[in-house]
Amino acid sequence: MSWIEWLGEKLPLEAGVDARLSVHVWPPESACPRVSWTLDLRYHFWRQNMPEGKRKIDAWLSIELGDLGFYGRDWRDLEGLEIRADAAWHGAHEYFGEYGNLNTGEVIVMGAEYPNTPRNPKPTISEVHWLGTDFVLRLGKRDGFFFPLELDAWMLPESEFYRSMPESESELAVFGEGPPDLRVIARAAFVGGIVEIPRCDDPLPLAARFLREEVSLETMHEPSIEWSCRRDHKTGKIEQVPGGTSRVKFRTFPLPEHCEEEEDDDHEDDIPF
Amino acid sequence: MLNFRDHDWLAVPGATHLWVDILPEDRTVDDLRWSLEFRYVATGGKWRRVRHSQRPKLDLTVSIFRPCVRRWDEFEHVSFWFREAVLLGKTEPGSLIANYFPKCGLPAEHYFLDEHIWRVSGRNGRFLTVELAAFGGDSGLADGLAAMLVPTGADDAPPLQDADFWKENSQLYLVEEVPFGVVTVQTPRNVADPEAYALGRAKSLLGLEFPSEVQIVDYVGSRMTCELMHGNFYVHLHFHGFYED
Repeated sequence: MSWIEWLGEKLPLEAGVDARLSVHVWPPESACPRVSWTLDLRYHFWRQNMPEGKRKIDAWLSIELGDLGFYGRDWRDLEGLEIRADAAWHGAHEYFGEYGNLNTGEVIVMGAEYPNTPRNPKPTISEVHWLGTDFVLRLGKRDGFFFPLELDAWMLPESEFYRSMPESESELAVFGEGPPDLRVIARAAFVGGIVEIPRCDDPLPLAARFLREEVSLETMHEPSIEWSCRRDHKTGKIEQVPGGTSRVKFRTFPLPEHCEEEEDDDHEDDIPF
Repeated sequence: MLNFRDHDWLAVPGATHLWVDILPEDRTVDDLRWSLEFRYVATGGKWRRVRHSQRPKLDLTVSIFRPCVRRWDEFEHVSFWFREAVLLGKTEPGSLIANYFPKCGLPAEHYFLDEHIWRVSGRNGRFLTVELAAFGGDSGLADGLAAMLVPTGADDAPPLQDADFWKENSQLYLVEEVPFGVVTVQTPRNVADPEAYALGRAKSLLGLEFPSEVQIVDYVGSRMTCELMHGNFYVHLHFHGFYED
């Protein structure tokens, strides 16, 4: 039985709904760690018997862990991973990415409750955005690309989370007071990821090599190439540049037939209506 | 690694790089304007709930120095360190400007650290290991150190000082892996293919080819720039750490 417990509400996960482990691999000579692992899990509050063309959910919830700080050279070594993310862990794992973005290891819970629904009778959408630094994550014994997952996290609303002054020594010494706000018992699947490729005409062999070298993954399924884009200085039009830098997206195993691919970035796009 | 004030610091990739500007009238590599740019943000567990835009930040620029190189990969031998600089007769380490932002919303503290030394102590691919020490304005400390460190003859050269020595005796000390980052080629508007022109200039003057990204910028119509910048296209060849600030 897999479930999420969010602010005291227990949400059972449907069969086949897994947390997703993804890897992001950077090329040699990158100014950041070459491998970054992320974890995410989506939950949909479905509406029953909705006609075609009508929204099929009342709300959604997304749980993300931006970087596991795992630098093992074999993805199978995720088995048995245990993270107790206290201040020292965060201090040791914070880094800037290749594009100058700061990678931190918080747990992020985002979501939305649509208006005029049982969960949100108000006429306006209700948004959820919580963050937590203190968490405990455990990955259990591997079964194929799947790992048992346990996550406990202590969260704050975004409005209370960010502060302008650093934490004091006494604040830093506190870890996870009281029961966790978020608990997850689920299965995590290593579903795939992204490989960044330096400029070349044929990115797929390089992507395969980088994956083999960095995480000991031998096979990519459904690889797709995204060439870098640039704006033409005369027309202003944005065009892809074949032969330039690129990123290769891949899966570790074929997507089951009844499933649809979810996009990574934009929640609005992948809400089923 | 940066030793400055009491913070632990992280260098920001992309914003930390070696940069060179090529003008249409430049004929040889000696005509070029070189800069080293560094950006650091405070790090450590205590900052985990402070957005990085609100943390203490340090921007450093070493500008307009003359490295005496023929090609970019000769940079691994560049040194404006006391001993080497004096022995080789190199005396133009550029101007060092440091802007320290102690807290978001507070004005920057500006430092013009004219007394500074720096050198490249190694190269790994496109990354150069840069070591830099800077000293307070009129302290005379730099001169004292120079006198102490410069040998009277090559045979009795004193041992190289280690990082602890410089941390103790300088106002700011860093050792950082700095990528060869950006070549900006100012390209006349009447050139048929600005990108090809820029790539040709970078290759002929520096031996550099195959940038990761190419950006062609036309500042005409931009409110952020002065009219002086409207005469040419600016072709930014990003050899590492493509970054938009």
